[in-house]
Amino acid sequence: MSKRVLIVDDALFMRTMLRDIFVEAGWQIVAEAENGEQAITEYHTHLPDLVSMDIVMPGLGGIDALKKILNNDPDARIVVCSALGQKNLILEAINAGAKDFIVKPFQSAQVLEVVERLIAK
Amino acid sequence: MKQLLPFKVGYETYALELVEVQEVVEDQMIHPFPGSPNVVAGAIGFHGRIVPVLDLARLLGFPTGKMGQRLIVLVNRRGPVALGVDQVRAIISVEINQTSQIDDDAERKYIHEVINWGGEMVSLFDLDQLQVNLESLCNQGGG
Amino acid sequence: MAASKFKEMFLTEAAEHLQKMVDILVQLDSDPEDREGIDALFREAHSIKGMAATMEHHQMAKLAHHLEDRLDDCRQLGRISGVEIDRLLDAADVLELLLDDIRNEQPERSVESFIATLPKTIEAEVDTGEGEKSVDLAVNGCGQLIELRLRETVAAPEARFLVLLKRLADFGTILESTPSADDLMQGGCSNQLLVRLDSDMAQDEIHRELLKYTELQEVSFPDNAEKEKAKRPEKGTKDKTVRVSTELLDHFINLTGELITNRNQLQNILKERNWKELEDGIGQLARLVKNLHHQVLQVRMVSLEGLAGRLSRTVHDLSRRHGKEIIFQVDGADIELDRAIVEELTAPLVHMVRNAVDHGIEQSGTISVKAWRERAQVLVQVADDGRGMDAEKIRQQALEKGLLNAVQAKTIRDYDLFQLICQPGFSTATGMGETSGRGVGMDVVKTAVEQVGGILLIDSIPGEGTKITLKLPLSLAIIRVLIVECDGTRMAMPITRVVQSVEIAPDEVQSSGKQLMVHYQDEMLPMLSLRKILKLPQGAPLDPIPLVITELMGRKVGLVVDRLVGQREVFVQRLPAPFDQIRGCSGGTILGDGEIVFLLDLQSLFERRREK
Repeated sequence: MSKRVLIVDDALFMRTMLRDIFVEAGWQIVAEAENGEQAITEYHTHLPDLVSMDIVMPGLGGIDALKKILNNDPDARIVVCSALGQKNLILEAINAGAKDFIVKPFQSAQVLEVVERLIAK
Repeated sequence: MKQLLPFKVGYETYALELVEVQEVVEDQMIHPFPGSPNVVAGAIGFHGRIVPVLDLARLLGFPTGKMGQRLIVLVNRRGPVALGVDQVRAIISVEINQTSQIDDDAERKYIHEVINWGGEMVSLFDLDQLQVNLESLCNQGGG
Repeated sequence: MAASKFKEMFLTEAAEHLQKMVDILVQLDSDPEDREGIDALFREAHSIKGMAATMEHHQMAKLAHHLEDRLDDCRQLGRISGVEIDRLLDAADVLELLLDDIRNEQPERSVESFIATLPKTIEAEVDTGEGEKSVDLAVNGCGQLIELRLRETVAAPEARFLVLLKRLADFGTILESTPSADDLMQGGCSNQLLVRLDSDMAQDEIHRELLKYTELQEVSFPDNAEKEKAKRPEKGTKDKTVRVSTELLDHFINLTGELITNRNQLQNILKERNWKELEDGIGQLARLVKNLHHQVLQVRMVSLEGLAGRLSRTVHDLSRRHGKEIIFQVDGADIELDRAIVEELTAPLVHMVRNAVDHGIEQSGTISVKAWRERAQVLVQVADDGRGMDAEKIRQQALEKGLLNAVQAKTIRDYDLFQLICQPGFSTATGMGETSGRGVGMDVVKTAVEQVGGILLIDSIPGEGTKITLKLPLSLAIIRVLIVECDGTRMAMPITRVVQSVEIAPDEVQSSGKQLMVHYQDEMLPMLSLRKILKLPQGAPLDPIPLVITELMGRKVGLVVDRLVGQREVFVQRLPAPFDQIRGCSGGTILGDGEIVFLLDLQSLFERRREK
């Protein structure tokens, strides 16, 4: 059975790119969300194996969404995506419970390496 | 007792401690070099070494013109560099108590002490400050 | 008594023996039954033992002695296993650390516990000592030390370490770590993390889990004694001594003799005012000085052997780690270059080889490093027969990133196209690593090569592999330059940066929009004015127009100067700090008439212009 992922990013471009990467690697995209609120709803609807979460989004941001999700499901596997300049946000996200992180711009190999090793454990 | 070498740039008199000075040279051809920030006038050949020359008048914001008449070559510890000044005067000796520290936020840069030398104000040039500013100037690449 | 005057000599020689050991070990990996190799290895260990014992460096002598014993077993067996090679490589690393201790005049670290981690005899290697490992843990009692080192290119290292710390916490209890999680949250850390972990998991298992993180350059399990090392600053000062053959020394002595004769001759001429002979005497002096100069440069020359050893170690470690089968070939390691250039290029070459392993070779293949002389240049080539780079994909990327316009994208040659991967940031672009077959950092490589006055050429065919060639000057200090004149000032360009200097008639200049172009061989090159670049006043029209064909930002261009003065060999001085930071000028030289001619660094000048 293929692994199920929820993609959260406010930019259509980034979602498309992530979707391509995941689909190519045989993942199933359960849903896509473009802000934190949507992410929380979609998460609890689908309970995916993995969430790829953008940090900076309009409305409810990635870190807050992540905390809320973990509140209800402490085992949620969430990987945050962020630009290189936002080191402190990444640190904050990991401290808040993100399992790993991906720095934009990324290569598909990097993304897959991060998510596969997360799923493997 | 401190031995000082006073020199003039524009209408001000500055001084360096003699221990910082390697040599004073005159009438040296200054070769400009590509990419240098405008406070770097160029370089001279000094005992077979290439030594960059700073245009002090420009650095201190005085009208430039007579630059290049006298070059004060600093000791190598300062990484060979020469200061182009308008005029060099005779060495003077001062007691430490003749000097007075000046405020950090003073308007005139590159001075850390002022000496009253027989009624004339002589400003002690701050080489450390120069060093720091030079580094950022050279990193920007001037132009 | 260990006299200090022998210390330098000991350090240099021991380092050489150690390097040879590593070289042989890596070679043996592909031919484990090479008896001569094993014998040679035994001799190296023996030499190190002897030297260390003489100098009373007991720890080093003890470890070398232990290696000697193990190698003696290998000799009996007539072969050496892969596991044993890795152990011996580890041991070589410890010897290296001991050398550092000695160099820094610190007490030698203890090798007792390291030796204890090695199985007693090499036959025992079949079952990789589960039993011994647990004994080890029991001895240490309070958890095990794990040292992690990140690759330099890893983004957000603090965050990466934080993730790893959390991962390690899954395996057991973290007793302490440097830096701590709190330190990491504050930001600012080195690329090293030292963790003391209390865990029931076997070291092997933890190691295996950690290897899943390819962001890690190194995972090691130092023993307690070695923990000291992590606390100490990186490396001690490098050896600055060189070894000079007695033959060369004899030359110097002879030359000195001749110079004394010459001086006497000149003094006589002066005394007798015998001016007719003066010319003769000075001619003689010129010859001697030239000779002396040549010999001194000779002393600075080193071969590429050491570097080649380093590279083969890199390939060995990486291919083992990624499970790739790679044949590594070196050709021309005896070629000599100025040591400053070799030092400058070590990191870039390691990087290129690493790229070839990571991105070039898919499962198995060959990486070759070749060096050869071509006139006054040395060429160093790193080639792989891996997947190669796809020009189309690069073209597409360049177009998207705005590095090329549509017309350029159509007309650009593959050669120029590949140069684009050396643009900062280009290769890190989304998906590039996958499609182009080359990872990050080529911009850094190119910069390093250009800093020593060389150029970098890239050639690649999809499915057949990639070749990267460095063209380097033989020596950093003395280089051949082209002198040009511009607004009355003479300037020099390293000849390695000049494709050709030509004079063209004004009617050969064509205009394409705002840009003046010139036909050169079968290409149209943009013409740039050096006066304009240097912000000098415009000059009078020139006829013919002197042109220097050079390479700028990966493209050939025609640089218009006022006058081509000619070529000559010059001794280049760097400008003193901080003036060496000034972009546009990479040094200068004082000519015979006292004039200072500066070395033009067009590349950085041009980058500065573009940044504005």
